[in-house]
Amino acid sequence: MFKAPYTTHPVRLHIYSHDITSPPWIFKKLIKEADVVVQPRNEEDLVEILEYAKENKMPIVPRGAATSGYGGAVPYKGGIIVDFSKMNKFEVDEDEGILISQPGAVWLDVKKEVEKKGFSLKVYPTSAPSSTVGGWISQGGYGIGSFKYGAIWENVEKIRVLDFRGFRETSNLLFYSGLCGTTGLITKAWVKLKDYVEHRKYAHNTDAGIIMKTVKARPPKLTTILLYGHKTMELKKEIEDPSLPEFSAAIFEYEDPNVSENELGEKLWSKVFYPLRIKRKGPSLIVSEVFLSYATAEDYIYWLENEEIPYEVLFAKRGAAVLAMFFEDERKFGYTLAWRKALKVMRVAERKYKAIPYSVGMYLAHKAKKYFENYDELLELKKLVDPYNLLNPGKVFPSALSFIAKIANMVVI
Amino acid sequence: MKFEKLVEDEAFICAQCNFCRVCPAFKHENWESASPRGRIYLIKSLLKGEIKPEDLDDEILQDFFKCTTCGECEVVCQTEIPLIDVWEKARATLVKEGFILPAHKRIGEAARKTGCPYGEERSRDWWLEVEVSEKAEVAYFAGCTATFRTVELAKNTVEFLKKVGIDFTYAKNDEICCGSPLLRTGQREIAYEFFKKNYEEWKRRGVKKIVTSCSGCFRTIKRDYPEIAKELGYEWEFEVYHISQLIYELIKSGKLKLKKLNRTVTYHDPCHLGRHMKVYEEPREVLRAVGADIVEMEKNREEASCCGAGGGVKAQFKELAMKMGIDRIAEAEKTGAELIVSCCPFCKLHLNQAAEGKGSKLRVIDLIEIVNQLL
Ligand SMILES: Cc1cc2nc3c(=O)[nH]c(=O)nc-3n(C[C@H](O)[C@H](O)[C@@H](O)COP(=O)(O)OP(=O)(O)OC[C@H]3O[C@@H](n4cnc5c(N)ncnc54)[C@H](O)[C@@H]3O)c2cc1C
Ligand code: SF4
Ligand code: SF4
Repeated sequence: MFKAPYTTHPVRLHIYSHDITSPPWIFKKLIKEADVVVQPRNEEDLVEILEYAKENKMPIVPRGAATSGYGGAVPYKGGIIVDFSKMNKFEVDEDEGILISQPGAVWLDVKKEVEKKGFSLKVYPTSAPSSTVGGWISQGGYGIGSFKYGAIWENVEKIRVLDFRGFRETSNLLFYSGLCGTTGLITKAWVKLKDYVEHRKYAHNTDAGIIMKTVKARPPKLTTILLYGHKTMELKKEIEDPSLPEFSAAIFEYEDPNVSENELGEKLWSKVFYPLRIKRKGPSLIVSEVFLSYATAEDYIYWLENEEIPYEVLFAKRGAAVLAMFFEDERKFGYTLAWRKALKVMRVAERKYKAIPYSVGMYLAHKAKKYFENYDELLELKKLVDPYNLLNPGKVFPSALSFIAKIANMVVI
Repeated sequence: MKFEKLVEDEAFICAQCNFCRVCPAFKHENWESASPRGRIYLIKSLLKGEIKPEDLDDEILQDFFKCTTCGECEVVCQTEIPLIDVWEKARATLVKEGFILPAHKRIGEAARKTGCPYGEERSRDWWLEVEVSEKAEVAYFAGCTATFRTVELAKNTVEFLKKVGIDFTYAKNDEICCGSPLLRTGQREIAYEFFKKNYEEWKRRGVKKIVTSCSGCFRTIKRDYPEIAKELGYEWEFEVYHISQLIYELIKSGKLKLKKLNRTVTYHDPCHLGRHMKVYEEPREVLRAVGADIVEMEKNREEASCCGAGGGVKAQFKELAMKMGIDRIAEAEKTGAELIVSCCPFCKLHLNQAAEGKGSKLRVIDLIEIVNQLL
């Protein structure tokens, strides 16, 4: 079938046909499993895979580490899962301060290496120990460093992409980031770095209103603000560390070695890659994740506080990413109720506080028009580069499944 | 398919985040059916009925068992899943359902027949050259690997105990395998029988403290035996020590003075001593006390790479075990150390074979060998 390693073993196909979400049965019934999983080692392998897909009219589903939660890496129509784990090489252009990376490189590996070379990443996701450069760029999002440096797409110089017209190198990230590979597979990325600087973390009990003052003042060396609501802190205290305070608290990360650190900062930072540890409370976790401008973020966060809903906020350059969490047990009846509650919160966020979804992927593809300001242009590009709709169909650009998703409307981990 | 409650609950807690990609076995495998995340997903799928037991063919079963139970995954787990326990309990269920690998079955059969997973029929005290007490408060437990494969560990331990004047007993041919390889490969019932035999022997000899030079035996006797005792209704009052802990205590209390070791060494944490039992510092303290210059490998203590031999991997997947061993040797080579020191006969055996396979000059020496020579 392919020169690259591939598998068609049914159990293995099953093991690869999901992301971190555990969709409810209605969805699961509609989602197919992959026909084959392939691990390209280089661009030639990818060209061969695209040719095969075209000949056999098989969908292509790119996969980094499958740590996203919007269904983007799920092979809903079956087809070929392209697992990028073997394309994981990277180097640093030390003259330009640029990371040149294959898509399957893992952020934490990259972080360690660029630091050895005297640079720091400007942004990285809290899934860094496993998620990939290509995956995060393609999914889009905010992470550590985003208060100062913005979204991942603002920190990528250019990418190399393969579609059914061939390879291209482009700096126009808005046609690829958040697009889940529907407009092409990322085969290489040039990511902007900054000179190495020691980051310091400080944390204290605070709330959204107080943080908004800092947001407005925008201290030049403040890179990250992460706020945990009081219910989240209660859970962290119960599950992670009994010595934590149970009031809402925020971590502030500075690219400034002169800032003095404190104990709470150290404690919270030591778990910064572990936002889902509190999933032990579930065991299932339903999340409603939205992005709000700073005009409405504070009010929405206060609303969540008053409703006693656990949440986390990542304050970014131009707005806040807010994650509200609902714990349930997918094996129990109450699951549907928690689902409804989460749905309600999403509606409130969107209608009352003018939030937009954090990302769309597959589950929220029916919201793509609202999410992407350049949706019509995207659609045009899609038709041009993927005439047979084989590049990750059902994602971002709505499909029949998207109408079912409309009913569900939520993400379950 | 049903698994024990712990396995079932933890499978649903898993966030599928893949932080456990650090698995040293998975590094050499292509497919996630051989990764911790893939295995947990498989368990969850079996529980939900999405995968049926009859779907578990040889390939998948092998992938499931390509795990040394080293615990590297457990340390990084997003949701703090006790993964070592999960693997062992899940394996026990699979074995009960008839899913057992040929080499593991052979180990079980040999152990049942001879009381030793190596199938050795020699008397267990074949190496013993000194007199030991018939009854004493302290018992030395040699274990199968130090008895039949790296006998220098057993010899040095006995010599050491004699030299420092500890009155101890050793059960000779009445000792039986601790059951570690059986517990790790899901064959719990045989291990339970071995527990009973060792327990009764210790009682008969008036033992209160058990000292072992093997990390695998230490883990089993200190962590598994109390649980088995509870399950079977036995009282458990024994104190259990790894020899490195005993040496450290003697040094700390000023009862042991050792000559100096003027060598640069790196210390390999055995998984069963380190991650399983959290003994990281005592062996290092002993090395410091003899003046060794310790250079740490990049992955040490909680993050230390596995030697590749445990969990039935060396028996069933020789090539994979060798690759993992070579990875660890390569890591040790980078430190520039002259010697690798460890605290486990199985790690020593395997890493020395790996060093040979890699063409490395480095060799592993056990802490007890060093200490006994410097006494
Ligand atoms: C613990 C945890 C913490 C997280 N923290 C953050 C965070 O701080 N910020 C954040 O934004 N998200 C976060 N996420 C979500 C997720 O990690 C990110 O969306 C992202 O980094 C996904 O990377 P991945 O390699 O897992 O990609 P995947 O999930 O495999 O893929 C994401 C999407 O990109 C597509 N894709 C993958 N590779 C390519 C490629 N080479 N070319 C084209 N398309 C491709 C896939 O088809 C899919 O649609 C977190 C998730 C977890 C589990
Ligand atoms: S215990 Fe070790 S070998 Fe087994 S899955 Fe975990 S990391 Fe891999
Ligand atoms: S690290 Fe833990 S939670 Fe994450 S996939 Fe592995 S087992 Fe699951």
